[in-house]
This record gives sequence, structure tokens and C-alpha cells, in this order.
Amino acid sequence: MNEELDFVAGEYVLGTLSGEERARVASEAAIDSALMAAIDAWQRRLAPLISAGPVEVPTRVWARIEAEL
Amino acid sequence: MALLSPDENGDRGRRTATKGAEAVVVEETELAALLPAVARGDKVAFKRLYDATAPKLFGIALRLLRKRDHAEDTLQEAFLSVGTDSLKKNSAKGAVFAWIAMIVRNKALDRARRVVRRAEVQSEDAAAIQLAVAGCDALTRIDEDGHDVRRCYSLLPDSVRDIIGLAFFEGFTHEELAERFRAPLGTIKGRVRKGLALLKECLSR
Repeated sequence: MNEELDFVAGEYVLGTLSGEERARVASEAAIDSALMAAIDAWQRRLAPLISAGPVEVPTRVWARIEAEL
Repeated sequence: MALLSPDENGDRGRRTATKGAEAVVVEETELAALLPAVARGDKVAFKRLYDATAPKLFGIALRLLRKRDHAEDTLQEAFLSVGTDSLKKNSAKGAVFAWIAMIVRNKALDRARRVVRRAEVQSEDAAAIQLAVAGCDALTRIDEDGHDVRRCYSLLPDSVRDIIGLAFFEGFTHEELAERFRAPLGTIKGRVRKGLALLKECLSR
């Protein structure tokens, strides 16, 4: 595993990259399967850490989704 | 909890999912049971998936974006891609809620980098953000391989955990972290990578 590539993937998933860096990594991942796999692995590692309390969603949100289904 | 039982009508489901925040529990087995129908284009199943998950997902987006209108747009974008990708997801392993939550996170971060300035929080958004930050422990804790990423996170050294936490939960960039901690950018980047390495090592044990 390329260590630099794995760190970049981790930073992408963690969310610390600037807008330009984030967009660059996303477009590289589309053509670099090793980078894509590293991002996928970091998503699997960190997903269980995602947390927030529930907040009531305005009904207009579902209405907009339904209109586009 | 029979939040998504088949005999439950849509109205009752909606009230259950969006009333008192503490009443909402995301039941992974029920979400997994809905996914095949969602993948077939079943709108009732899709609405149930939405009702069961949207309040928590809205909380996640609010924490990262700190603006209600942007969080609403993010939720809309995320669910439209959930609809599109459910067929792929249906055949892949892994927790359904975590999968949707990661889609919301990615879209929220893209949006945050594109349009949102981390300015003062508007007062009309503050209460919702407060709700999102409070009571965030109800999610599934154990990842697919049975390791506890939360335990690994809690074991990080303080100076690293604070940085990883602000980045992951509140969407801070390297630059914003450097400003917050009044530390050189290089120092912050180093601590982020140290945190990533420690998490990976802990999870591989």
C-alpha cells in the first residue's frame, strides 16, 4: 500500500482537504482504482463513527425529493 | 421497535420518525429489509427509509454545514442518489445506515467547500445545530469486522483526538484547524496523519 496515497484517502474521508484538494482527489479517484479502494476502505473504517442527534426535517424536503423521483 | 412494520401506515410512520428526537431509533435490520424494495423502485419503501433515517441524517448535515437551508439541500441530493444507487448497494455487504450517512457526509463536505463560509451561525440555525450535537450516541457502534472505531477514537491522544473530532464531526479543514489551534499548518497536517495512522492501526488489531 502506497502510504502517501492512503493518507490522502484518509484526509479526503475525514474531510480536512480544501475545496480544490478535495475536487482533485475526487477526480483522480475516478481513474485511479487504488485511490478509490483506499477511499472506500477509509469510509468503511470511519462510517461507524458518524454521529449526530436527530433534528426534525421540514416536510418540504420530502416534497422536493418526491417531485424528482 | 416496530418503526417500519409492514402493517404500519405511512402517516403513523412519518409521525414516529420526526416527532420527539429521542424516540427515533434507526433499526439496521429493518433498513436492510427495505432496501430490496427501494432498489425495485418501490416508493412506499423509499418513503419509509426516508422517515426512519432523515432526522439523524439532517443532524449530520447540520453539524457539518451549520446552515439549515444547505443541510436541507444536501439531504435532498443524498436521497436522490440513494434512490439511484440502492440497486448496487443491495448486492454489497455493509450497514445500510452507515452507507447512507457516508453519502450525506460526502455531499455535505462537497457543499461546505463549494459554497458555505464558516461565518457566524445564524440564530435561526443555532437551535437545530444544538440538537444535532446533543445526543449523538444512538448509532451503531461496531463496524463490520467487529472492531469498535469509537473505542479506537477515544484512545487517541488528546491533542490528536480534538483535531480528528473537529474535522470529522464539524467539517474543519486543515486551514480552519490551524486557525482554531493557532498552530502552523504543517503541525496540524502532521497531527491529522498521526490520528489516521493510529486509528488504522487500532482497527487492524
